[in-house]
Amino acid sequence: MFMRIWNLAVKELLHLWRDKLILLFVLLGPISELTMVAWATSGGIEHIPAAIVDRDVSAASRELVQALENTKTFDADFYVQTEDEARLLVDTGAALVAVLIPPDFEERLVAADEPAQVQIILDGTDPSAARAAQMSAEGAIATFSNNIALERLGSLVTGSGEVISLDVRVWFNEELKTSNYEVPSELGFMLAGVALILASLGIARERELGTLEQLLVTPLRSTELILGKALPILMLSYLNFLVMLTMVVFVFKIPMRGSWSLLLVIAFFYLLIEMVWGLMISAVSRTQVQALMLAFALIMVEMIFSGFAFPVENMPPLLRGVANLVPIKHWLLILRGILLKGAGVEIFWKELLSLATLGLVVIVITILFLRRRLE
Amino acid sequence: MNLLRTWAVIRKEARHILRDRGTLILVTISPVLLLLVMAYTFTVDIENVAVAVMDRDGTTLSRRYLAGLGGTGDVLLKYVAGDYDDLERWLMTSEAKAAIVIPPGFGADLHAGREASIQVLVEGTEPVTANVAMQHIGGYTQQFALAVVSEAAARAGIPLDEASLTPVDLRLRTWYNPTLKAVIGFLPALIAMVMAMPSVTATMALTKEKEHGTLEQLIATPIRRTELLVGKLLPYLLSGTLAIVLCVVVAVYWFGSPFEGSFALYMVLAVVFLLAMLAIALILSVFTKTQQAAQLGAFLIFFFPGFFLSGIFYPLVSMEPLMKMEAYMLPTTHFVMIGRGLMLKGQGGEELWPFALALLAMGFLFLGLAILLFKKKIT
Repeated sequence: MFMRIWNLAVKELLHLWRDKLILLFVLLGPISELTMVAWATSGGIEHIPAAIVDRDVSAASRELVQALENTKTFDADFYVQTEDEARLLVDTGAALVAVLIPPDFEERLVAADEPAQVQIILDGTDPSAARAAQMSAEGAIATFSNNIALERLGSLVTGSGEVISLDVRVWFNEELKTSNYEVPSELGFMLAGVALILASLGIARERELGTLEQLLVTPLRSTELILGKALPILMLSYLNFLVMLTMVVFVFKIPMRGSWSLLLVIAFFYLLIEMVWGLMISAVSRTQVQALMLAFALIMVEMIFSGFAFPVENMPPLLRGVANLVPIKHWLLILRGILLKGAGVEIFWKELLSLATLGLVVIVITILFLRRRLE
Repeated sequence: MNLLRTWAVIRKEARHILRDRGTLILVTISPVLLLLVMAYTFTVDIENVAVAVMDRDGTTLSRRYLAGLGGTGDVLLKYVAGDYDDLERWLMTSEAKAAIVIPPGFGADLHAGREASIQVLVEGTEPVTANVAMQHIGGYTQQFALAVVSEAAARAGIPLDEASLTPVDLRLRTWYNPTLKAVIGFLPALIAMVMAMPSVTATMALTKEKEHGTLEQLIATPIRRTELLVGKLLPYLLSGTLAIVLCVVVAVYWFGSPFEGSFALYMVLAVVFLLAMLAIALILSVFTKTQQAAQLGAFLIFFFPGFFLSGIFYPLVSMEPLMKMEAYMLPTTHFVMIGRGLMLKGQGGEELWPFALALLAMGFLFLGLAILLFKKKIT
């Protein structure tokens, strides 16, 4: 039996080896994608070009612009006279933010009888930049404003210094680097994507080309056929994972605070689950294009519920429920937990249990289903 | 180039697409579905961030601070901890994204006019959520401090008016997207991203002919390479164009997005964009021998760069120069700019010509390269 499985596995490996492009994509693809993600997310959203319409030109207005620039989110790249000029800059995309300071800004601050106005205009067509700009501007101006208020009151009521000092400490990702979140997510996601694609086309291909018939008339049993198909995919995907993990930890310097052996073992089981999903797709589709469609649909579902692009906690309750049925959600929590937090099983046992349950269900269904289809 | 022969290939390919419902769905319907799903899941606002609190002061002031914080709706005071171990566990399991510790003496310090302190522990593995939490806690604390001080001032008999409490009044306005619905801002970019699907399918279809050996048969007919390529691409171009129309219809009528600019111009540029993308698909399919390889390649080439480099989630302005250059080499990046300009900003040719020109150049360059490679590969 093992001999027969091994023979089939060798045949599959030969296929992959002949098709050098697959090997290239499996090994080089993730490297380039990871590099891109690490690169794209290393900086955070900074240096948004701003057009300043300072119609006050006073010490106070300059201080305000300085306060905005100090956040590093903004670069005061353009100083213009009118709102129309600022609009033109935003229209053409040269600036993404316009700051309007009216002529009486300092006057009102000194007089302290009505609030001094500042207007900040965001380019709504670039929501990510707009959101970052909004948060940063609100924070900077609130601080600016409160400091002035406290100065006014402070001379009357309290001594100097802050009223309440916030001692903020960030754990696990001290500098709040986006790449510490995105790169492990990408690693986990690529692992799923590659395993799914490799597995989903495996049996569908043989069926489309008519070679499945030939395989079925050999003494191979259906279980052996499944295992023989699965083995090379597992090997290749796991190799792919090792390459990616090495890069993530040693090249991109994502902290690895947990146990290597634990991560390697859980990754293997996760890979198994994704591959079984792929085999299931492979079994239900008649052509490779169909398999592709299903695999893509599944990959998209995984991407959406992975919390990779958007945190799952903020989704509507129904979607949050669905997210629990998607293996990648649990896997990414475990992966990030081990890497960034040095977490052990006692921390993520719930996720591990969910993953195991999901895996078991899918494996049993697929084996039953595949055996029926193949006999 | 013989039109009749090209037409024959077009008809053959169109029939393939129509017969194989999978392909048809993949080309025209799946982009719309993807658009719907992404629009709903990527554009939710981050609110109700789970926070754990530990009040070791237990005075009226500390309770008021926490009650007010919970009332803002931005953070949700989900857990009340008895000791640091609790906090640590919740942060470790990510059940709480931040923890607030009010040390003993907080109320007394505030009363006495001394500097009071609050400790905030943030779970940093999800920087976006962590930032939101920090921002809200910081903003709220400032407000709270001001309120406490002004009350003290009032007690001391110092008259106060609104203006002295809010010296600067910030008004935020959003241009082009006045309702501030994030989804409206994301839609033009998401459309550009989901339009990778026709190219993925085309890569598969072209490779399929190779894998089945039917490409040999086609080549043995009097059809020329250029005719074959154009004939093969055209049905995908047409069904892809249909998909873009569907996406725009969904954006405008389902999500209520404005369409300020010229729809005709948008469609012309959309065809150019699709052409450039399909040309890349052609180039890819020259090298792939199996559909498996084609799919992997398409996944890596069309989907990921579109996601990370085209400025959808990471603004181009914050990118390093080298990366910006790479971003501008993708057709998707240009079509994102065109979509934003035409749908939301109401721009016209005078602002958008650089992007249109870049797309055109890419389309012809890639198509020429594809034809060249294709010819060389076969002969």
